[in-house]
Parts: sequence; structure tokens; C-alpha cells
Amino acid sequence: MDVTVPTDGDRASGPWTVVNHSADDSPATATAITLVGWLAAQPDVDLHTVLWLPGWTSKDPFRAGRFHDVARDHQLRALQLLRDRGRNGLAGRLTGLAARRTLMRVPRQGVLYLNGAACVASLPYLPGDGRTVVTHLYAADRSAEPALAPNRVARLVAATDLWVADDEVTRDWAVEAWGIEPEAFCWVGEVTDLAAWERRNEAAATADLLSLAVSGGVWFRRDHTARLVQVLQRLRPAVTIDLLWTEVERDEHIAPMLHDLDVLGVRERLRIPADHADLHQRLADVDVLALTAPEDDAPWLPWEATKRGLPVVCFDSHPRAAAVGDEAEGIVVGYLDLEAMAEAVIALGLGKKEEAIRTFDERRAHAAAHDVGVVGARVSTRAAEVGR
Amino acid sequence: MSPTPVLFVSHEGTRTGAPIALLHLVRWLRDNSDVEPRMAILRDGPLSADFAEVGPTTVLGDTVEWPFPTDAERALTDQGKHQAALRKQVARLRAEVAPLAATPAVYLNSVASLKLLHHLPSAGPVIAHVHELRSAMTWSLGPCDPDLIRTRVDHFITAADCVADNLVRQFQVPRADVTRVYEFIETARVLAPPTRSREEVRAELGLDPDALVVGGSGWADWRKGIDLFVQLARATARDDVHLVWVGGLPGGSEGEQIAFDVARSGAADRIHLVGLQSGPHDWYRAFDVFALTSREDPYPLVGLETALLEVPMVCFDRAGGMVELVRRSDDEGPQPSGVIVPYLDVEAMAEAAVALLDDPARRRAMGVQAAHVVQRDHEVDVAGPQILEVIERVVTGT
Repeated sequence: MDVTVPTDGDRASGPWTVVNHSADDSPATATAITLVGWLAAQPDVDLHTVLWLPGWTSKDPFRAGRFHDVARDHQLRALQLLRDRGRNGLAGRLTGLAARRTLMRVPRQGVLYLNGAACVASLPYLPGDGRTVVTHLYAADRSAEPALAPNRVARLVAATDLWVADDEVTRDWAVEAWGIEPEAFCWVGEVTDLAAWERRNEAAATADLLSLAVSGGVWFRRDHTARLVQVLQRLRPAVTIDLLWTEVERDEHIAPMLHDLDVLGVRERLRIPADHADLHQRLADVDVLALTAPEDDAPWLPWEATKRGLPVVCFDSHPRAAAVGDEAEGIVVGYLDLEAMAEAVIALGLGKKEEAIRTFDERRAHAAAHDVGVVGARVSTRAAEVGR
Repeated sequence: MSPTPVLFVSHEGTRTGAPIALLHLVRWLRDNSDVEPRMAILRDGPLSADFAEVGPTTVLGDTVEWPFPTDAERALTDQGKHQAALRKQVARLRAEVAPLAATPAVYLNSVASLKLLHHLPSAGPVIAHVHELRSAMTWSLGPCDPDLIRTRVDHFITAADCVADNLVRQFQVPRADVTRVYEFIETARVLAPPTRSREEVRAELGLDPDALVVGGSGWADWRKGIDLFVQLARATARDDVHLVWVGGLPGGSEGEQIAFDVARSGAADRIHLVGLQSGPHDWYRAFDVFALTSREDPYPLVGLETALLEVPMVCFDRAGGMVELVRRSDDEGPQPSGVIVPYLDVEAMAEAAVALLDDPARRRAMGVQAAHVVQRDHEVDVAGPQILEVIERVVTGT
């Protein structure tokens, strides 16, 4: 794969409309935020963003450019009352009208970037058909339950001019299942932000204060929190921990952890979020993501952290371990080897050990190949060709 | 002197620490004092029958929490007559509890049994024997229960100094209202002749007679530190050291977590989770070292029983009353009776355990000292008179 840093000539230009399905912590949303951030910095781009459904994280990252909030339409109180009375048909029609009105000012030209197959739902409500439609497919699209209905697949395939796939498996699946030509894919792979990634690593190399984020599944919440405390215990006092959680925890979930922290007298070193609305922002403020859970059935947060250049430390039992090891995203330690995990956190976070330096270079090379500037320029170039 | 009826309340009838200690106490009081024990068990269990042999025993079932509605009450609710259904339920609950209210004094054998006071508004003097530390108290108390601690309890007995300290700190209880009486056991039962030898127990696990065994015990949960026990096995990293846990194992996701940890620990062939045992003392005798991996344990009876059987202990600092036992014997005897390591420091615990395993003479000396302290301080014949003195003082108001 060519690794190029985008030049002025490569920059995207003209109207770009990025549609994201919902504000959540999925890989798709993480990619959308990265792409939107890059597009917003391009001087010649007229950026529009569309959020189709409400989610549980902040909408703020989508407010770059002109924000079309269809998610709000879905939450209108009057429509909810109709649904409560079983008037789903009428509520659906009225929601459609509201969405159509919200999307009236979306440009009819330029690039329409559907971020995930589920965004096909927005197509009937977007005015005009003079755009180049790019659809980004994710692993979640091929494993969706229920699968996208055949009529919607047909609509999406008919409307899409260019495709992006998050990985080769997803591309091969789309070629096989949907009959898409392999040449129609203009990018296959993850999308990351190299500039933010490098800033973070530079800061980490000199910072005296290390911020460690931890994440894990609620299913294993007790092991997760117990091990978190044990890792914290092994870190030097300058390390604080931001507790990031992909699920909203209840008091009884974290009470055992607080007990341990109190006994150790280190409770002030753990920062627990009041809510999860600013998950993406908070993730941007930490240095290392430590996965202290033994397992996680939906490891989205580490995936997103990797896209942002955050090094990841995890046990070899974690489903993300293969990616962390193979793609030099961080360090994998033996299950229950808490000393090794603590050492890895320090090594990666402060960049002072040989291992960290080695993985830094490897991760940088990997990140550079997937930089949003590279991907954005490639999509932009291909979109311009298709448009001509 | 005429008998003094006292209502002893146990939060459950399980074979666990606090109910077992209460059973020892009421037997002793029946045989050695004018106190006439009457028992209320808030949740039924195998010990209920043993209590019934000591004196009149009422098992309240779910009544104290809230009674499940009868068909008639449910019918009222279905008709929208919620207030009427509520009144019927309250009346039924009071009727079941009413006979207990006639008892002139109440002895609550744990904070978890405090809730009964809500239904005994005019009960006489109340003594609360507190076996819990902060987390257990916080999790077992209802929103209105802390007020009961401050307003309805006349005197507290605590199972350890750390329990007393927490009571004062967490609920602002006056120090003068607290008497510490260390937890106690019936030593004769523990020292009864074994039914199986150490070698037979090892053979049951498929171990050589000279295999080294680090034991743990209790309901295998977060509080008892079963996850830390698995880590301890990993940290010992020696093929000849086996870790044996005697005690109930949870099912569901908690059980799956334990199984997952064991399978991935790299020490699965050295970890033996044998579950509840009808003759636990035979297993305790087979321990070379007792590892108390509890995060919070006020004064576990198993710690006393293993000590009495001359098994030295390793435990975490700041995790409960066993630290007091070890430190007390350190101060008084020629040998310490155990090793205290920093809280949650599994590696230090493993190091201490292995050091003991490798030094049989030191291990034996520690065990002898531990048994001496338990026999001197933790026999029911020692604690019984102390508690009796509190009961007489509170009931007579002198």
C-alpha cells in the first residue's frame, strides 16, 4: 500500500456530506469523527454532517461544518406520544416529513459519504441525485442481525458509486454477497489521524503525569475492577486512571473497586466519569488504554483508541490481543500477569523503554499508512474521477 | 433467680460465621446462665434446627423484607385497590412478628438482622453484636437502617477492634457504647479426632503424601478474594505447591469467572476448588499454610479454626481482624503466628507462603503459637462471660 502524506493538490474540495447512523462508541462512529475532523480542516470543503438516529454519546463531534440533526426529529415528543398510542405508521410518516425538512439544505452535489450500510435509511430523504455516493462498510454490516433487507441492499448498491471497507474480510463479503465489483473499492483498511497520534506520543514522551484509561465489559465487571486496582497499585504515584466504560455502570458495580481504592488510600487517583456523553473527548486526553478485563464481547473502545494512536495493553485472553500484537498497537501480557501489565503501561505511556520505542516506530508506520489524510485524498480523487 | 428471656436474632440459618458463633453462644448461655434464649431466624437454613434444640425458634422467612402478596391481596391490587392491599399486607406482617415483641430484650447477631427492629417498635433494650465491616454493612443496610443503629441500639458488641473502629467512624457511635469481644469457637469440636488423615485428604486430590498445600476457605466471592487466591497459585509458581479452596462456589457468571481464571492461570493443575465439605477440619489439618485472601473479613472463624489446628496464616494488612490476632500473638509469644503482607500484594503473599513451606520448623513454631492464642482468647468459655456481662448490664440497666 502506498503511504503518502496528502499535499494541497490531494485535498478534498467542494461539498461533502457525511452521514452517520447514531452517536455511539462504535468503530463506525469513531471513523466518522476522524473523517469529519479532517474534512473540517480542509479549507475548500463545504462540510455537512448528518446524524440519523440518537445514540448515547455526544453529538458534538458532528457539529463541525453544518450539522443536520435528524436524530432530534426521531425524538420529538409528539411523535413519541403517537408511538406510545400504537400509531406507529403515522409517527413514521411524520418523522419522515421532519427528516425531509431537516435535510432540505444538504447539498445536492459533491460527495455523500454514507458511514455504514445502515445509513441507506437516509437516502430517500436526501434531496437531489447529483452527488457521488461513497459507502463505508464495517464488520458490523456483515454481521448485522437482522441483516439489511434485500430491497435496502438493492437501493444502497444502486446508489453507491464508490465503496470503502474497513477490512479485507468485509470487502470480500460485500463482493460475494452484494455483487460489488472489487474495483469499486477505493480504500480497504482502518482510518486513523496521524497528526493527533503523533501529538499524543510526543506529549507522552515528556509528560510526568500519565493518564491511563481502562475499559472492559460489564459481564466481567468484577474481575475488571479488581484488576484495575491491582494495576493501579503497581504504578507509580504520578499515574492517574480515567475510568472509561463502554457500559453505564451502576453503583454496585464499582463499589468493590472503591473499597479496594479506599483501603489502599489511592481513591483520588481514579477519575470516574459522571456520564458517558463525552467519551470520545475523554479518550483524547489519555495516554494508554489498558484492558484489564479478561474478555470483552464487544471491544469497540480499544478499536477506537487504536485509531487515535493510543497504545493498548491487554491480556492475551482478550479478543483484541491478536490485533494488538500483530499490528503493533501496543503490548500483550500474559493473563493475570499484573506486574507485566503495569510495566507495559509505564513503558508505552512514557515512551522511555526500548519496547516502547520499538512499538512506537512500528505503530507510527502502521498509522501513517492509514492516516485520514491519505484515505480522504484517495476517496476525494476517486470521487472526482467518478463525478467527471 | 428467675430466667431472663432474650430474643436472639440471626439474619440467616446458614452454616456461616455469624450464625455459627451465635449458636455457640446461645448453647453456652443456656448451660451457664439465667438467660433464656429465644431465637428469630430471618432466613431459614440448616442451622435453624440446631437453634430449635436450644430454645423456641421462629423462622420468619421473607416476612421481614416484605411478604409476598396472598391471592386475596393480589386480587385487591388487580382491582386497583392498592391501599387496601397494602393495609392487609402490613397487618399480616405485624401479626407474624407480634409474638416476638413480648420479649423483654433483643440481641441482634449482626447488622443484617437490624431490619427486624422496624417491626418491633416497642422492644426493650437492644444489643447489636456487629460482625461486619464497612462494605458488608453498607451493602446489607437499607436506607432507614442507619437511623436504627443510632437510635434503637443500646449497646454494641464487636467481633474485633477494627469493627469497633469502623462502627464509631461510619455511624458516629459513642466509643463507650461499644464492647469488643473477640470472635469465638468451640475448640473441642475443632479438635475432635479427624475422620481422615492428611495423607488421605491428599490422596483424594491425587497428590503425593509430601505435597505442599496452601489452603483457603469461605464462600468463593470477591470479599473472600477467590480471584486473589487464583493469582496466588500463579504467583507461587512451583509444581510441588498446591492450592486448595474449601467452601461454596458460586454459579452463574461469577462461577464462570472463577473457572475462566483457573483455566487461564497457568496453574490449573495446582488449584483444587473442593467446594463445601461436611468435615472441613480434616481439610484444614491437611493445610501447611492458611492463606486468608479476604479483602474484608472482620474475624473469620476459619482463621481461628486453622490456627487452633496449628496451621500458620498469611493475610493482607488492613483487611480485617485476623491482623489483630497475628499482631497480638507476635507481641506475646516466642514466635509470630502468621505473616501479614500489604493489602492486595499477592506476590508478597506468595513469597511469604513459600518461605513458610520451605521452613517446616518455623511453620511448626508459628502454628503452635497460633493454637496457643486461640485456646487462650477465643474459646466460647472465654467470650461467653464477657457477653453475659453485657447482657446483664443492658437488660437490668445497671
